[in-house]
Amino acid sequence: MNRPDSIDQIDRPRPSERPALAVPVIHYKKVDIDGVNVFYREAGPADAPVLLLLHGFPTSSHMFRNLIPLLADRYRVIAPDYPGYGQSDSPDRSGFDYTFANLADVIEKLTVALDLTKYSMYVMDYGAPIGYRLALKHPERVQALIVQNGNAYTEGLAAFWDPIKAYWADRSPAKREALAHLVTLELTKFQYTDGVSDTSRISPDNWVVDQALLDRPGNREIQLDLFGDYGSNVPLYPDFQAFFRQYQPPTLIVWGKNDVIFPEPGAHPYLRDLPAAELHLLDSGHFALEDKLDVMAPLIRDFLDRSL
Amino acid sequence: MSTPPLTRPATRHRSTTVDGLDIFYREAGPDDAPVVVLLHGFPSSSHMYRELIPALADRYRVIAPDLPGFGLSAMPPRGTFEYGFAAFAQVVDALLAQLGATRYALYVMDYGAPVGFRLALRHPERVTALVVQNGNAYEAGMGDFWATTRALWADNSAANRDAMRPFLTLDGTRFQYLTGVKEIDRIDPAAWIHDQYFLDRPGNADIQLDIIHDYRTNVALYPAIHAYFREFRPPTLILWGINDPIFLPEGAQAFLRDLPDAQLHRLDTGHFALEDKLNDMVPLMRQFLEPHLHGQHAPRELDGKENDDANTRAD
Repeated sequence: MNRPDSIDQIDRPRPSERPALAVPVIHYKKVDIDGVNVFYREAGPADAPVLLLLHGFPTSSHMFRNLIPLLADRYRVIAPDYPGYGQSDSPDRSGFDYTFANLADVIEKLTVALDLTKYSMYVMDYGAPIGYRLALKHPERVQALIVQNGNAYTEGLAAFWDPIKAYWADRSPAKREALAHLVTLELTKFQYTDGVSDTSRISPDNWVVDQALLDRPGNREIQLDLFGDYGSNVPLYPDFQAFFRQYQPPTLIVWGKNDVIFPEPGAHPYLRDLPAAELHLLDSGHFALEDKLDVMAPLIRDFLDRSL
Repeated sequence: MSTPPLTRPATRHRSTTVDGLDIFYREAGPDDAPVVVLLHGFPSSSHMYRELIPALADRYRVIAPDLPGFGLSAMPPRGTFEYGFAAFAQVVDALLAQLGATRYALYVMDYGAPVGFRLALRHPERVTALVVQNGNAYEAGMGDFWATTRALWADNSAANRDAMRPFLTLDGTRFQYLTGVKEIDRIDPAAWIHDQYFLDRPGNADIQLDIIHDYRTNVALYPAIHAYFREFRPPTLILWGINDPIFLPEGAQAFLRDLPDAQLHRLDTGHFALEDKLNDMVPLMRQFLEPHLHGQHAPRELDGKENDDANTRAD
């Protein structure tokens, strides 16, 4: 048995030897965007095609932790946390507008800071309006779209949204407080487990990490601001759809069909504007990556390999 | 131009009742594959193995429990559970029996080392191999860091307990993940977010102090653990973050006194080496485990029946 005396002498198995398994290195970084430290995960070759992963509520790039290593051999994968989420700063509401327009601006500036001139986007939940707003600013930069339970059609806003729509119509404290249950541990768990047939596949790490961050002082009000502002995305749906029609980005739709937040009726209308899109309905819920990664990762790799 | 699809074995997240306690564990891999048990350190849980598990699960049945008072396992109030390493070893032993794991390799780190070595003392014939990562069994591994702990061992007073409390804060947790790491940007901040969430539960701090106080009982067992190494010579891989201020590299070297055939790899990192050195450690572990768990030569000098079982399972 070799017993190296220095770090440098570690024997690495040859690639041909059986028990060697490549594990990609993930980097956890921050970039200053107008005084706000924006955190992002990055992996993959610097000169590879870029895939931007845009997360949903109430999570962060943490939701992509298992997908990133499965794409990093072929793509430069970048997954930011929006301000107020994950490891990014949560600037005080008095000095930062928690709106989708502003979050999209931050992500646009991040793409500039990282010199991303072309990219594909994986959009989920809040990531959809943020990604589509970015696409409206720079449609020519979008090489491909992967849409996962990310909405762009009014058909997709069902009963779950009724109390949120009520707050859009009436910005009263009562209507705002009526949404407070959406930031509780119970609802966070629900978002991960509802519609999932085998919940043992769902890591409790999801709600532990998400809830630890939601429970930070002041975060609840940030989230309530953004529930209110989600209404600003709906008037942009026709613009998002016009972008789809005009630019016809190669699109893969992977949709957890049991999701009550963005239900299946929001998936099909994409095909009106993107007739060449591939639609895969998955027997899963809102955070489909948690239990369907083994189905989704090959679909995503195959789609990206063909499109890029 | 298509590439072969990569995949990642699914990890299952389960709970079961063990000695009246709800015990959480992660499990992955084929039911009939050789078993690898991953025993976590302070202040983490099986969360520290979240990336290692899928990297082994194509070849092994991997089982990673959370100890009581940690992660998603029960946190019974002090006074209703004897928080300490004897009780932890009992819980893990009972869990593995319940899961039908009668032979297993042990990956031990930090608290996982005394838990795993106590398990080995109970059932030396069940241990197919050891992977030791910053898991101590020698006084040589314990330096200045342990001064406040040794004071607590000498006198479990309120003042000595209070002196340990900063170690249980977010700063203390971050210190454990970052000290000795050369490339900080390889460390996933979810590690300390996760751990601190559980440390900050009401009542957890005093539970942790009880466990730290009980750690002295492990030191008293070191001679018995060394005798086990010498007598049973388990195949051993030592992976040690040499910049760890908690368990010094001298503690890694010391294993070779009793396990002269052990492989020792010094890693240029700190306490939680898996966080930034997973890509180096996985190939080393797989290469090490393969012949011992899947190979023809069964673990040494054990009774024939057990070996036959192991070979049947491996094939």
